[in-house]
Amino acid sequence: MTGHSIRKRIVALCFTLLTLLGLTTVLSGTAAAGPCSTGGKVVQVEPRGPVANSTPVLFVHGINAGADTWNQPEGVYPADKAQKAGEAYRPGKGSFPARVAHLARVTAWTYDYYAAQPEWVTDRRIGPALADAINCLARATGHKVVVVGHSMGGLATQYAASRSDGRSDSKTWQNIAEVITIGTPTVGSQLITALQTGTDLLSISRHPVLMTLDAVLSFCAGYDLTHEDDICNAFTALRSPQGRALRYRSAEIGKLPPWPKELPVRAIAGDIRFTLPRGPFDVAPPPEVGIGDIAVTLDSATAYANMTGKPQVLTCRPSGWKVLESGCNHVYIKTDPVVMETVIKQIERIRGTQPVKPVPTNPCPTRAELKTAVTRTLQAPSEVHLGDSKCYPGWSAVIWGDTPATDSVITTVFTRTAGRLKLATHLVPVMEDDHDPDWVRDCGRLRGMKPPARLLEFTGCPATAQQPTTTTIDGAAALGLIQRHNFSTTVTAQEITRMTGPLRAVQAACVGSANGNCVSVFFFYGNRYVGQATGSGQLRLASQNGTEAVLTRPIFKDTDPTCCPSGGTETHRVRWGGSAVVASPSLPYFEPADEPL
Amino acid sequence: MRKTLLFLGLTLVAAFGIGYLALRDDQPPRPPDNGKPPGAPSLPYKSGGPLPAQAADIAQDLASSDAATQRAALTPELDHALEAGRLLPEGTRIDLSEDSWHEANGYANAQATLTKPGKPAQHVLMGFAKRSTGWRITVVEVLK
Repeated sequence: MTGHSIRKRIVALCFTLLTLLGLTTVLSGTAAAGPCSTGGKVVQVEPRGPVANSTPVLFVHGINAGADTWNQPEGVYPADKAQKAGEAYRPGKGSFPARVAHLARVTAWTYDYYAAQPEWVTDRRIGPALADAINCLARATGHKVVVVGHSMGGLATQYAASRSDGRSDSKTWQNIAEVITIGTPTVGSQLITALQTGTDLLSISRHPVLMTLDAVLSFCAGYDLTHEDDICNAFTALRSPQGRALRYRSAEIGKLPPWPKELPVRAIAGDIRFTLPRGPFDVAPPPEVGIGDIAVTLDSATAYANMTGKPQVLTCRPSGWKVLESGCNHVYIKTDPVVMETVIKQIERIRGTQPVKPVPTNPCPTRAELKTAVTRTLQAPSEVHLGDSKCYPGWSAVIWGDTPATDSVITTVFTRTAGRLKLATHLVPVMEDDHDPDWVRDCGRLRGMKPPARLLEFTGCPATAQQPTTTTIDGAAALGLIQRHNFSTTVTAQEITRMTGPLRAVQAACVGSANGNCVSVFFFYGNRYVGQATGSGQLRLASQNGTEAVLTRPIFKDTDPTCCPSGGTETHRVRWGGSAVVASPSLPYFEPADEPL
Repeated sequence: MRKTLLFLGLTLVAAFGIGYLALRDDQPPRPPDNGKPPGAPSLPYKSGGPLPAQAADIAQDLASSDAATQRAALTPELDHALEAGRLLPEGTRIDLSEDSWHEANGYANAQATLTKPGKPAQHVLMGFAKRSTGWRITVVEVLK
């Protein structure tokens, strides 16, 4: 074998070893990401069962932690136990989420917002992103989510529950089967308040709980358990800006949206009953004091439970420094065997019983979508300020105006197919100064599209065209009315009676008009006088057929003499709009009326 | 080629040996550094350091012959919460453990051997809180 070939073999061997090393590193670090994973935040826990048709259980960690906090083995003194058994400590073996993942037809997931620490739950990477995760899991599995929130994870869930589900008018809580909070500081933490207040102020209060916390915090200095996740590490985080929001009855907690009353919330809390060690002293120690789970007092952790009975309280009586290792303390309680059993029982009870409603294939538009759709229909730029809106199967309608507080509003009606909006019609009250030819209240046209009755009701259009009680007209009475208005016409009473109705128009001239340019057209619907179109000159009734009348009007330029318009002719088509005369384009001078003849 | 490989191998071994000799800690072996006296139970604490002078004085005040001085060594709220009376009998001796001081976030602890007259020595864990007037004792636990 030559030296050259040996060198080649050595290089090849090194390359292979390095490649294997690299591959191993990459593969071991790959998260078991599920369908709702966004940036690695939502991870399905092994064993990864089928997602579809499973009941998802989402574990949400608390302050100063990540999703690996759930890897803590069950029970107290986890590292000591493992070492006594001669085993190496293996995070993740028998973890809480893994036990849940083993349940039939259940998938377990962790939500990790470590990257957003130390922000408050309102940060978009915490509460809002958690809402997205919950909604995504519900859609992916077809079942509502069971959320298990430890510590601040419960508050993040409270915030997320009130968020929109992102697809419809529903909220995230409607995709949650039950929330289980463990050691959640529902009204804040007295310990955090104490830590942030300063130890000298503690001496002023002389509260027994705070005195006991002094002893516990003394024990924490230099405390060094193998597992990183211990109660003393949690205390370090409590001094952070995030910790400020968790002060007892803080403003931040007060501003959180309340839990929806339809959402079951189960509270689990630790209650350490601690007696200060007597020590070597010849005097008796103070009486036993309840310090909750140390980080969260009992009143806060049990402040809210809904539809799930009384909060579950685990009571422990550790002695001395071993309070740091108590299974009831804030860190260890989440993997206490009793707690895990409770949660698993609830999951088994809920499993398969709460499918989510299928996402509508033709969802109602959001208000933003309505605004965009209305704006798209405008022929000229205009502001769009939305008012009330309604959504019906296949239809949407919205009232809007071009200023926030206008009385001049428009109702725009859309048909809706697969979530896409298509303009059906705009409806506006007829206004004398409205020159836009397309925006005319036309209930007849809308009715012709056969919308739901409730939509018609919303728009103010009558369900059926208002038919005159009679289609006949008293021609003599009509003529008399015209004359009473100081107009005269060449049309006789008999001719009026014989006109095809129900809509009839009669052109008349002012009495005493010298040049014949003072012209009005009187409109009658059935046996009622319904309005008068006047013109500054040469308004003419061109034709009519009982449902539509056509008027022409010459257009005068600014320099035209009154005799001789040179701006062309405008044609107006006049119909009955259900409750009033409507013209397209609108007539410049129209006096509506509603008088029986 | 064999000579080359042999030379490389010897070079590596020599380099390792030189590195070890250069970087090793020359200090003599030290006892487990959690400050406990020999035979005392093991506590899950990191290596500690020497007590600050004021804290050491306060710890010794517990063994003062004056009952009021003993009480003054405690935080006011602990003093207030304990029954009235002398904390420790006259003649009590407190031997602070070297390098047992741990301090974090305004709190601390240390270990000591406490011997009351005529009684067996007790290994104790003492807790401290930093107040504006200096360190004060928050708790004393006898370790079993």
